[in-house]
Formats: sequence, structure tokens, C-alpha cells
Amino acid sequence: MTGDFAAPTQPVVGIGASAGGLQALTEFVSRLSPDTGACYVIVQHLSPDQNSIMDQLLQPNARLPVSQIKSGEEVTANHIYIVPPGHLLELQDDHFHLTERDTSEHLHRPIDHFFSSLAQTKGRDAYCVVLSGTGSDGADGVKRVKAGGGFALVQESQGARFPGMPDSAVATGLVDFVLPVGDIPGRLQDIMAHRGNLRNERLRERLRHDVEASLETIAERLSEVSGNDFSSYKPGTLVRRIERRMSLLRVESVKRFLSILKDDQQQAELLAQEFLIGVTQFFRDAEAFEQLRERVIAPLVARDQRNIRIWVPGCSTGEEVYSIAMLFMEEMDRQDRHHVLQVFGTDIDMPALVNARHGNFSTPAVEALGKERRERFFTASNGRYRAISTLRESCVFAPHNLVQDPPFSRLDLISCRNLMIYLSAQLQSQVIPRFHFSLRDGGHLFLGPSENIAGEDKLFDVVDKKNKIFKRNSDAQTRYSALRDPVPKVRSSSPSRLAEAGFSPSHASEVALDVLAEREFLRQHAAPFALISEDGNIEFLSQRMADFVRPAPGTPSNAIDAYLVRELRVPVRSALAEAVESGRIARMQDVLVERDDKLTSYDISVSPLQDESQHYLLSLDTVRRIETGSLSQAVERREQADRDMLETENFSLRRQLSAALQEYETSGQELKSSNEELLSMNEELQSSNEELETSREELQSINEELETVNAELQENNRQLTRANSDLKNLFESTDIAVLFLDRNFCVRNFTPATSDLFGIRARDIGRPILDLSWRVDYPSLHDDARQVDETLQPLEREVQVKASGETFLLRVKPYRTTENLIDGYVLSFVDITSRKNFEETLRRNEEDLARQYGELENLYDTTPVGLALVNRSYEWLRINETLAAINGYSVQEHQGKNHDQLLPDIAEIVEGIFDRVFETGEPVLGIEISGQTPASPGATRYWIGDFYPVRSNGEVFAVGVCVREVTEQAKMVEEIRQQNSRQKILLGELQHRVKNTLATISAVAKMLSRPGDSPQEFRRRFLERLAAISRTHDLLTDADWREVSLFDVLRKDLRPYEGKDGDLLNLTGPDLLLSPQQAMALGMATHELTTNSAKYGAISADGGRIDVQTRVDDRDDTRHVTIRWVERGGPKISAPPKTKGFGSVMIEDVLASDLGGQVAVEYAPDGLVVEIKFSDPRLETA
Amino acid sequence: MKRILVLEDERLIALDIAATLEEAGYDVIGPHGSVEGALTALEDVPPDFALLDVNLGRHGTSLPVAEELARRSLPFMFLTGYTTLSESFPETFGDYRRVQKPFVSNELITALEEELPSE
Repeated sequence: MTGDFAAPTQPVVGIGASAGGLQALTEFVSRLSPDTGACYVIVQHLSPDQNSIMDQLLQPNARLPVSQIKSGEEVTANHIYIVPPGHLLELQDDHFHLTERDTSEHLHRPIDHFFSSLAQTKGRDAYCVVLSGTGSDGADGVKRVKAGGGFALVQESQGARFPGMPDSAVATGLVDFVLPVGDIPGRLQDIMAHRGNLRNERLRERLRHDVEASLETIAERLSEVSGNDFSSYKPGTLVRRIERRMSLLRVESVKRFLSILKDDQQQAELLAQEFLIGVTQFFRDAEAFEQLRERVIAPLVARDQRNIRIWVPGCSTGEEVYSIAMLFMEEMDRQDRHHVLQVFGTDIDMPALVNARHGNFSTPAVEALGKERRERFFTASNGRYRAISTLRESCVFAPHNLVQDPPFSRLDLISCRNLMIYLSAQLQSQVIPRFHFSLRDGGHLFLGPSENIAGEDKLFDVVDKKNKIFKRNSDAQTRYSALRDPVPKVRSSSPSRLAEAGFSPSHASEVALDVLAEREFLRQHAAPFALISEDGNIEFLSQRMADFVRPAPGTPSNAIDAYLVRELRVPVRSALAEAVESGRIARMQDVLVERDDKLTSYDISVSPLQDESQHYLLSLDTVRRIETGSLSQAVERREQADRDMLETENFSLRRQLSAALQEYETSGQELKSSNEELLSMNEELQSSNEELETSREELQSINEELETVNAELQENNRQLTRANSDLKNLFESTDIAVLFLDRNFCVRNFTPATSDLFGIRARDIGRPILDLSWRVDYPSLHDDARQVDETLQPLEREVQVKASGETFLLRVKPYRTTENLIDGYVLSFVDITSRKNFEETLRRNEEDLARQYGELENLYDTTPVGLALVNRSYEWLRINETLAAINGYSVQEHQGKNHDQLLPDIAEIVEGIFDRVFETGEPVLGIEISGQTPASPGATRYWIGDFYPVRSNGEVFAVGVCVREVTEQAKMVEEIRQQNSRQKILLGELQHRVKNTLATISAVAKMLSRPGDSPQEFRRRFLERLAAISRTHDLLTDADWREVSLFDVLRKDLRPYEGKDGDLLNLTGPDLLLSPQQAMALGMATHELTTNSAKYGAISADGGRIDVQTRVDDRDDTRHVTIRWVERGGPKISAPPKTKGFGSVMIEDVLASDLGGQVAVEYAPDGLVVEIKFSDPRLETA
Repeated sequence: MKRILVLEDERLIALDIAATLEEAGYDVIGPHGSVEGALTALEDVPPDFALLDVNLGRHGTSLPVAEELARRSLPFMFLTGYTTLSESFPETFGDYRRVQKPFVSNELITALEEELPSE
């Protein structure tokens, strides 16, 4: 806080806005003139992860530069700053300081945060503006700014889109101006301009001087308005706040401000409110509270004392009260002792007390308490915290003026922190003895850190000097007495009283014009006169009579003897006595009075006035001026007359004196005895007075307490009434039938629905429920009630109304009073008839579904088509037995496995298809798949698969697979294909052979034609060869054109020549299996050899025979075959034939060539020998 | 005299072809019954023309010889028992003439003369 009249610094305007703020901000900035010298900071509620473009939105409307704040930036005048989202802003030495918002705090109050920082650093140069928004952010900040001497302006809630924030700020009662948003900039500029004027040092000094001088007048005025006496408050604070109010009103002279205070009661009330601003918080100065707990609270709780009474004067909004109550409750828990705790919180600030009593606190204030205390003592509601009822019940709040009202008594602790600093030393020294009086023996006093016991050291002993804990000194005596205190000022109920009592001189003068004339005449022309009372006091003097006054020395008196000139005293007294006695005019003549060194003779007359006032008029009539010559004669005469008068008077006085002496004697006696009586009476009275005073004090204290308790009770009563009406509304609005029974099953209460259902009427309240004819069939009420009593748990039961077939769910609960005692039962009936029906239908539907599902399931498993459902990880969601068998695993083994794990061989193919279906959402049908599965390892099998998407909520979540095995069909197709190709080869081979055979026959025909042969001869020879070829063909055809036995070939050719014995041909060695080509060549050669032998060789003679010897040698990776044709027993051969015929060509050339071997022909004498040699690796023996 | 290389595994048919050619006044190289023999003969005396039986039975086919002849740009024609339907004849030699077995002597000579490049 800056000093009383510190020089103004750079003003900073904090602007808080939230929902609906953009509109208000746009209008606000558009009205700001560019050279106010202030810096404007806009704080909003923004989501931390959203970028703000507020600066760009505002810039087009503003004549000032607009920018987002960067941390560390210097505060610049005539600039608009915007706090970036997700940050809290603070001011430090005219620099901005941003901190990340702590996201763990569930309530975000950036406006309060910045306003607090603003109040702390800028003090009286802090300005805050609250614009549209929901919630209550900014209200606490307004308090801080105001407490620091700053200014608060708020948008009018009618104009705001969301009035929550403006209304909360206004509710603090501290706001200076509530204006439409467009008027706020202008007002701000006015205030700042006025503050700017105070830069002039001299001006400021003068203003301060003026304010101090008028402080008393102002305090008086405020006392009339608010009933609080501020005259004893420290002037520093008051002056500062007066000066602030003057700034707000743009008033520069104190005189003018005083007249405003006089004329405008509201302004005076505002100033009084301003004087009362206090900032308080929970456990302000934690260390001091810890010491208090240790040194005062713990021992107090440990004592056997039923009531603990604490008083917190100047409690403001109650934080200190609740802090102390919490400390006591915690300590009582710790020691497990329970006392009745009463903490009285008093203040003169009524709005603050209302807040305190309600126990509602802002979130930052309560969160500073820590989690444990917060959860134990507070409940959150509507973004604020409320003290729990047990805490609130131990705290009692009441209006009370520490200085003027009687104090509380018999207290254990008084906590009066940071109140005394506002009081002057004189007031402090009055308050401290009151505290002493209020405390019990050994009670404690707890003061603020900069406070002390104002020199009353004997009253208190120091317990903790640092933390200002004091203990009452029982030896010292103080006595609270109302008489000793200044008379409490009567609270003015009618502030206009002054005006009514005001004197109006102008009006009076008009009325009294004639009186004035008379008065003037008297002053100018009348004889001197005076008004005298019956007992001789001068009451009034005319102007001229003033010459005859000469007061005697000593205490001034207006008695005749002490007031008039000496010469008049005796005659006037005598005349007055005569006039009083006679009731008529009394005269004295020739009274000489020396005036202006001359003797003048006057006639004196004293006449009674006509009214009832017992006054007499004295007048002096001038008889004549006495000349010096006749003076001695006149003096003598006068002296003679005076002597006579004196003697007469002397005589009467003596007589009176002796009578008086006698009276005095007797009354002296009487007085002496009555004095003795009085003395003793006085003693008695004095002692009873002391007693009375003590009881009066106590009564006054008790009365205060009672008033306090009464206020509290009234509040409770109001809340109860509200709760009762809430309950009544709840009862009447609920459709659920609820019946409240007491422990004897008598009806205590019921909801209207109950009356519809069970025919219960209001007159039935108090009657046993079982006496009533209720329609519900519920015989077990007693048993159920007993069970609820035992278990304390709600019990549920279905009950029937037989007549209508309705079913109700009955819930029996114990009836708990607010003290948590069981005092009856609550029966609630919920109609579940339709639910029952639904349940039945649902059950039937479920059965149908289950049956249909079973059928489908059966079909799924037994269909010969493989079916499965596969998810995105290629795992089987389900699979039927057919497909499981194809895959070679059981259905169970498929669960949770994917294709890679079970079917690695075909996984790659099908996964590609799955991907396609998932991607496109289109079915893929008729895909041929081949591969191996563990069902038949090593065998490639074939399937045709359909893949279709299965959707859930429009998204493909699985692929349905439908597989048909086609391995057998594929095999057949393959076989047919192979057969076709084999047949084609066979056909080609056949053609080749046929054509070759024909070509061979053609060649044979050409080679057989010899010149000179007859056609018959040619035909015979040709047909023989054709027959031989045909025979070999027959053999080959029999053997299916595979291998043919060499011996068969030989036997076939030789058979026509075999005799009966059949020993013509002698075969030795292994039979050879010949290829068709070999067979053809050897067949034709054999035919030529046979026909040659039949003509010329062994067969031509009886007994001739033919040996055919075969030999097979395996060497050089091949088979060497030797066939020897040896003829015996035929005619002797002398020489080889001269010409070579067809036979020779066939044997020596064609056979050798076709076999790829050598043929040797020897014409031995015993017969022909032909040796055939060839090799063939593939040749087999039979 | 034109030298005609004959490749035919069936010796009897080969002798018939050789006799037909010699009667028509050609000089016959071979007849050879195997691919190896024919290729060796090609190295010794390059023929003016060649007659190749396609299917050489256990000696395979005459295609290696045909390839060699084609490489040397020597003219030749095939003798075959197959019809176009029953045989998968290599495309490479689709342009060469094929004479069906069994052949008539003068038809063979006529075909040969048509194929022989004129001098």
C-alpha cells in the first residue's frame, strides 16, 4: 500500500471479462482515448489449449495498440494488453510476469489473481473493471483492489450478456460505479485525470491538511448516518479513504465534499462503508495461530470446563472466527474431549456479518487451507465452499460496537487482531481494560502482530511476546461501568432531524415587524427598566438600564445586591419586598444616584407583571438633576429617610434572625439525627448499588448474548421454514407413493400418490396403518420392520394389489431423524407393473431368439460349406466345424489364433483378400485358393472362397469367409487334360508308324522289282514280305507297341516250316525284349533268312535245324547283345552266292543300320552263320 | 551334280530315297541314320540341298541338323509321316517345305527341284 498521499504512479486498469465479453470489450476499447497515460490489461477465461486472436479482433476498434503479453514485458502507458490463454498474470516492479496455469486446480480464477497482484503493486493507482461473464471471478479481486485504495467499476448487469460476474462484484458492496460499458472509459479517464492533478506536491499537501482539519465534522456526519463513531479512528487511514472518495466524485475542495456529505445521505453511507473495509483470511500469520494452539487452546481443551467461550471483535467476514473454531475442534478431536464451544464474532459491518454467518467462502481462500482441513470443514457448492453446519453452529455472529456497546463476559479467549491498529491510542486504552473485564480468570488475549496492550501492563501478563499472546492478570481490578464511559451517541433514526430543527431567521423577521418597532421605541425613548424575579434576580435589562449596573467582585451573580449600583440596591430590594407582599405597585421617591459625577434623583417603581410568571418590572423615573446648592438639603432628607428605612428593616431583621435561630436550633437537632440515618442508609445503598451494578453488567452481557443467539435462531428458523416448504413441495410434486410410519406403525405422513393408491386421507395421520383398509397385500410388515430395525439396511419386496393386478416394488427404509436416530419406517412404492410385463415379454423374446439362434448355430456347424468370421488381425472370431476340418484343427484350437499361426501356407494369399475387403468394403467372390493345410500335409488342395464384409455401425469390423473344397474336381480336370495330351502324342506316334510302315512297304516294293520277273512272281514275293511285316505288326499290336520277345519274332517266322516235332528251331541264351523298331528290323531280316534257308539252307533238307544263340554282356555302361543264327543239317555250301539279292541287302545293310550294329554273314560248309551284334543300354531280357 | 544330303533312320526308306535321287541324277550324301552322322557329313562336304526325316525314332529328331543347315543358309526340306494336325512342329521351320511319307518318286523329285535354288 502506498503512503497517505504518495505521488501517483503509472495507473494500470485491469479488465476482467468472460462469457459475452467480446461485445463488451469491443465497445470498451473503442471508447478509450489514446492518451490517458494508463495501461489496460484484459484478463479472460480461455481454454489453455486454444489460441486467442482477441488482439486481432480488438485492434480494428481501438485507437491504442493491442498486443498479447509476453512474460517480462515492461508495463507501457497507452497500451492495451491481453493475457494469453492458460496463464496467470502478475505485476512485479512495473513488469508483467506470466505463470503457467496449474491445471490441477479445478477452479480457475485468473481475474481475481491479477486484481490481487494489481492491488498489491499499484495500490491507489489500481483500477479494476468487471464486464460480462458467468460465475463470480473478479469479486474477490474487487475487494483486494478496494482494500488497497484502488477503484472498481462494473458493467451494468442489464447491459451485460451474462450478468454473473458483474452481479457478484456489485454484491461485495464496494464497487464505486456501476455503469453501461460505454460510459466506463470516460469515467475512468475523469478519475485518472483528477488523480493526475494531485501530482502537484503543494496541492496535495494542502488537500491533506484540509481533510485532516475537517475530519471531525465528517466523523460527526457519518455518526449520524451510520451510528458508528469514527472520531477515535487513526486519522491516516481515514484521510486516505476520504481523499479516494473525493477522487471518485471528482471533488477537489474539502468544503464542497462536506456539503455533498450533508446533502447526499448515500454518499455519506458509502464513505462509512469504505471506512469499514477489512481484508481478512484464514489463519492469517500461521505461526501465531500455531503458538495459540499450543499455549492456549490445548491447555484449555484439557481442562474440565464445560463451556468454552471465545470472542472475536471486529471479525469482518468471519475468517478469523472460523479459524479459531477449527483449531478448537481439531484439538478436541485430538484429545477426545468434548466441550460446548461458542465463538462470538462481532463487527459493526452488517453485510460482512451476513456473509460470515452464511459461512460461504471463495475457492482460493479455502484451498489455501490445505486438503485435510478443507475436506473436514467445508463442502463445495456452486463454485464456492461452505463451512459445514457443525462448524457454523459453534460460531455466533452479531452486530456489536466494541467501543460503544457493553462487552461480553466470562470469556476464555479474546482474539482481536488487526483492529486496534485502526483505533487511536486513547481508544485503545479504553478497550484493553474492557478486555480485562470480559475475560475469566486466566483467560487469554490474542492480538495482531503490530498491536500491543496500550500501556496497560498491569492488566495482562505476556505469554508470547512475539506472537502477542497475553494472559489476564487476576490481581488487577477493572470494572466495566457504563457511567464511566462516554454516553453512547443515540443512533439517528431520522437523518433529516437537523434540517427540521433548523432556525429560519428570514421568516421570523417578517412576523415580528411590529415587535421590532416597539423594541426600537423602548430602546430610544423609554425610562430605564429591568425585569426582576420574585427572589431578586435581575432577568432582563433595558439598554438604558445598563448604566445602572455594576457587578460586585467575586463570582458573577445577577442578584440585586451583587449586580446593581450600590445606591439602588437597598431601595429596589425594599420596593420589591413591598410589591411582593402587597401585589401592587411599590414606589420609592428621591433615590439619589451618582452618574457622570452628578447626583440625579430618581423615583423607583416596582410593579408586578400581569402574567403568571412571578416577575416584576422595575423602572426608574428621573425626577430632576439636583443642583449643588440644594444638594446638602436633599442629601440630608434622603439620609433621614434611608435611616428610618434601615432602622425599620434592622428591627424586622433582628426579629427574623431570632426566629430563624430558634428554628435553626431545632432543625440542627433533626438534621443531626437524620444525617446519621442517611449515613447508614448511604452505606447500605452503596453496597447494594455495587451489587446492582455488577448484576447489571452481567445482565447487559447476557442480554447481548441473548440478542446474538436470538439473531442466530431467527436465521435458523428462516432456514427451517425454507427447508420445510421445500419438503412440502417435494411431497406434493413427487409421483412416488411414500408412506412414513412411526415405530408403532401409525401413519406419520404420506405423499399424495399414496392417497391415490391406498385411500389414505389426512385424517388417518396418527392412526395405525393396519387398522386402515389399504389395498396392498402385505402381511409381513411387522417382520420386515423388525428386520430393518436389526440390519438398518433398506429392504425391498414386491407387493401386489390383487384387485387391479398392479405390482409395486416396496422399499422399507429406516426413518432417521436429523440426529440419526431410528424413529420409524419409510415405505416407498414404485409401480413396476409395466416393468413386470416388459420383463415377461423380454423373457419370451429371449427364448425365441435362443431357439432361432440354436437353429442357426446348428446349421452353421453342419453345413458342408466352410464358414468363418475373421477380424483385422486375421484372427478367427468364429469358425464352423466344416472349415475347421478343412484347416485340420478343432474349432477350439482356432480361437484367438490367426492365419499365420495355423495356416502359414495359405496365409499370405488370404490376408491379401482380407485387406481388400476391409479397405473397399466390397465382397470378393469366387476366389480360387490352393495350398496345403495340416489336415492333409503334403497334398495340395483346392478351394473356392467367397469373402464378404461384416459391418457393425456402418464400419467393417470382420470378414465373413465361405469356403467350398474343390480338390477332387481339380484333380479330375487335370487328369482329363493329361489324357488329352497323351492321346495326342499317341495319335502322332501312330501316324508316324503307319506312314513309316507304308513308306517301308513302298521301298520294299521298289526294291523287289527285278527285271525279268513276272508280275505273278513279283506279287508272290511282295505278298510274302507284306505277310512278314504283318506278322511282326501283329506281335507288336498284341504287345501294345511296347517290347516284343525276340524268340516270339523268330518262332512266328519259322512256324510255317516247323514239323511235328517242333525241333527245327533251337533257342539258347536269354530271350530279348525288343523295341518296335528293333522288332520290325529283326522281323524282316528273319523272314529273309527263313525264306533263304527254306530254299537253299537247313530247312530245305530233312533234319536240318537252326540254332539261335543269344548273349548279353554288360560293360561300358551299356548292353552288348550278340545273336548268332547258325544253320545245320542242310545241304553243304560250296561257295557263297555270286549275286546279292534283296535278302542280302535286308540282312547286311538294313538290319545292321536299323540296329546300329554289325552283321557278319559266313557261308560255312555246314550251313549259313549270321552273327548280329549291337548294343542298347535299355534292352531288357525276358 | 548336285549333292543331296539324306537323313533318314529307317534304312530301307533311306535306301529307297537314295535310289530315287540317284536315278534322277543327283549325288547322294549318306543316307545318314543319325544326327551325329549327318552333322559330320556336313562338315566334310557341304551339300547343295538336304532331305531330313523329322522323327528319327530312338535317335530323336532331325531338328539340330535343320538348325545347322539354316545357320549355313543351306536349302532343305522335311520328310514326315505326321500331318499338321497331329504334330507340334517348331515354328522356326514353319516356312520349310514338308513332303509327306510315303512319297511317290517323281513327286519327291519335283518338290526337290522346286526347292533347289536355280543357278
